[in-house]
Amino acid sequence: MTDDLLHNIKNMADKTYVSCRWNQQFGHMKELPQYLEDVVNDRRTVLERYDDYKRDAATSDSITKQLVKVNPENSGNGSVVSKIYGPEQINHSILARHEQLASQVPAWHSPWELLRVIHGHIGWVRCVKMEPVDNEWFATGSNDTTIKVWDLASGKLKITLAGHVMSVRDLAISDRFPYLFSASEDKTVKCWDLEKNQAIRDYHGHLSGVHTVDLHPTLDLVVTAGRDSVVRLWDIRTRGPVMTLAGHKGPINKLRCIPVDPQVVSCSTDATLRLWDISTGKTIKTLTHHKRSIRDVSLHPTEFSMVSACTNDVRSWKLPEGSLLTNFESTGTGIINSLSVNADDVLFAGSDNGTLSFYDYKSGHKYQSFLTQEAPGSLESERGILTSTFDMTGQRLITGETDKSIKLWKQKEDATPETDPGLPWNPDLSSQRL
Amino acid sequence: MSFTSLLPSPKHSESEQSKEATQTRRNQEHVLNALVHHDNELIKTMPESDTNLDSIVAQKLTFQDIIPMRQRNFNLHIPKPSSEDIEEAYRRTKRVFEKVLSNHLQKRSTTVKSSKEINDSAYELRYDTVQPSGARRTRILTVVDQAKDPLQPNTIKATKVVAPTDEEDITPILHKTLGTDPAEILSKEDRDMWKIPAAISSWKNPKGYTIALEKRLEMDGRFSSEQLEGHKISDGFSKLSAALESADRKARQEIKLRAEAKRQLAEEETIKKEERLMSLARKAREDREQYRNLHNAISSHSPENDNETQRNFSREKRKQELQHGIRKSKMSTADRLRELAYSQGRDISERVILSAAKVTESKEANYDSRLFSKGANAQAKRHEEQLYDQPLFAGQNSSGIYRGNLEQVNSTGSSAAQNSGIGETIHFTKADNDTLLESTEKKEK
Repeated sequence: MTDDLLHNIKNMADKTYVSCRWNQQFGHMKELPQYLEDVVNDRRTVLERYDDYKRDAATSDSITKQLVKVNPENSGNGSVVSKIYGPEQINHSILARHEQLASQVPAWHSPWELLRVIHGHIGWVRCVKMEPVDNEWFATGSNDTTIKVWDLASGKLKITLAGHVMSVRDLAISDRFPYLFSASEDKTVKCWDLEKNQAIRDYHGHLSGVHTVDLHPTLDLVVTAGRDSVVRLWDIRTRGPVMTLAGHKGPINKLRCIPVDPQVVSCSTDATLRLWDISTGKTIKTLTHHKRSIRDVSLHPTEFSMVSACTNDVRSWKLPEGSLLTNFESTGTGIINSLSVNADDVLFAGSDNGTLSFYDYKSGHKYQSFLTQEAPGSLESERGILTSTFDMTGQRLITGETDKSIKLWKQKEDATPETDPGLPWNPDLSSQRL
Repeated sequence: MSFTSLLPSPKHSESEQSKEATQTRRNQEHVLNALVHHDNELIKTMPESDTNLDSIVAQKLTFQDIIPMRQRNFNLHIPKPSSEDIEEAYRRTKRVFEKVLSNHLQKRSTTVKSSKEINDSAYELRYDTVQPSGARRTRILTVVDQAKDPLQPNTIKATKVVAPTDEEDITPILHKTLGTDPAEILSKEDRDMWKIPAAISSWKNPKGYTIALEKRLEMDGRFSSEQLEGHKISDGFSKLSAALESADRKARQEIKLRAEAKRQLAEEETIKKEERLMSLARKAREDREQYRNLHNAISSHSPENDNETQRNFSREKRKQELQHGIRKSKMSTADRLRELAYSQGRDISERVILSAAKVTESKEANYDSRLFSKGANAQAKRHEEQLYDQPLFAGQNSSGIYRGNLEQVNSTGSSAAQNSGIGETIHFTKADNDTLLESTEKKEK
């Protein structure tokens, strides 16, 4: 009883103190200072704030029938949503996010068109890589077990490298050595000397087909991964396996190397992306947003971010922490085999059914989508993009296709936003896939 | 035991060396454990129960993970790592990999241990034991690796698949699980569509027949080996067809105009002719009128010469009939037939002109009976290849055609021989000299 009494007295004292202080400090003020008003606002419920807004709207002469008014100049300032909800709550509201999205306009890009078709392979063209130093030639690997080197400007065959016994799945061209590395389904990784045009080293040790190969940008390491669902690191000179990164639960489709942590990024059929710390050999982060097998991951050339794709789903990620950047407008794209980004923020996604889709990288807006033309003599069902790359300038797109052809694409030169507006920009939150 | 298992493991295989290292480490631990009886004191760490798995996941899950950052601001700036960062990362990782690599290289130089090395790796263990009496006693134990036959097959089989590490953190799955989206649940029709018949799904190409691309291109007639795009039809064809069309139209117009002009001319001519005929008819009518008036005037003037006029009239009539008869006799047969038909009321040419004639409406149509070739003319030719209208041995029994009728042959043969004198046996007689002589004499005469 005495405790209760004491407690009550204490409460009373507190109250009187607060009211006294309030009167002394703010009693003479017409409006509370901003920070206090924020605090007071925070404590009120949503409905109370809505009533306030209604009252304000009624007194001011800007009465509109529209409940939500999109104000592109100062989005998130003069609208219902931002008035009713607090500043930290605003991101939790779908309406507010949609408002933000709708108030922005994606960048315009010129549409793409076919420039040249190159024939020469007698199997699917599985991989294509641009030479990084002079931007003069590119190499393609095919199901016919050969690697062919082509001149970019003329489209002429420079050399054919034969040595693999099964299809060549990925290539990597070094910018520090005259070497080309190829990964094949015959479980081997070969190092080709481009001065002698022959295979000089084999990296043997994968237990199954190798799907992807990449070079570490600063260290002398070849990083490979494949069907045995581990990433292996090899020393280029001694051919020795240096490290094995285990963790994926399915075959690995693609990996990329980055000079700073995470130094290796891999994507797999188990629908996850993994960012690896190669100094300890452990996963830094696993990205589980994708629903199906991730077939490709690609790095942005000028920005520290990457993009990955599974069926009907393309997402970009901020590096190094791997947080979600953009959900692309990619519903209905089908199986996506290949992704490429150029420095102009154009993202290309090549589908298994031969659809070429072009996105604005920053907004995720799909501005062009069309079917590739199958080579004469091949069936309509042989349309399919297997691989793609931009050249170093980003002006040319090279695709390898299931009709055994290599196609070069360029942007329309005389296009303007008026003549070629592209697909309409209708930001839809449901397609943002929460 | 298979033969391959007896072979030594590959020369530079990593597994062997790493296994050895772990083996020795494990041996040490085992020995120490066995000697010091630590087993009772081992604290068994309990594995985390599944019940708090949800809470672990919930702790890691934040709303920001599933909200795209760029949604708020498309122009969010994400700079590339600076060169200092890259340099720092390079140095850090290089140190790690140099260490790993040096380990590898050292191991590679000593693949087979010599006996000296084995002795070097021997180590001593010092431990205290408590006697039942209570006294402590220090013992020293030397642990030496057991000598191993280098040719002995490996008892541990290589595990093919690299097991994922267990100590990994739990990561929440940030996508909807499959099949929860109503748009993605397949209906029965869709599922049936995906059922591929066995004949197609198990189709194989064991010999790997392929047709090279250039051959496929050659097969396609539209494309030559030089150019990939199909031959283009030159616009000369369209020009030609347009020109032809316009010329045709012009010609048609001309013909039309000419026909129009001709028709107008013919019309004018007919009008002229009609006018002439009409004028002639009018003139004749006027003449007749005049004549009748005159005649009437005469008859009215003298009613007593009625008889005369009557006689004249009958004379005229007879004359006319005579002339008609003469004309009739001069007429051709066709004209005469037409005349006859006209007189009998069977000529309908006028009625046809007046479109008063009607088609006979008899129900039963009259057909040419020859059309019904089976009944009417069975022997008629049915098609081109049939040379004869009836079979050669139609009336005969065809089964015995090719069987020789010997009697008939004999009889015919004998009769023929009789007729010609062939086949008869010739009897030679002795010739008389007289007769011979006679015959010569006769010839001389």
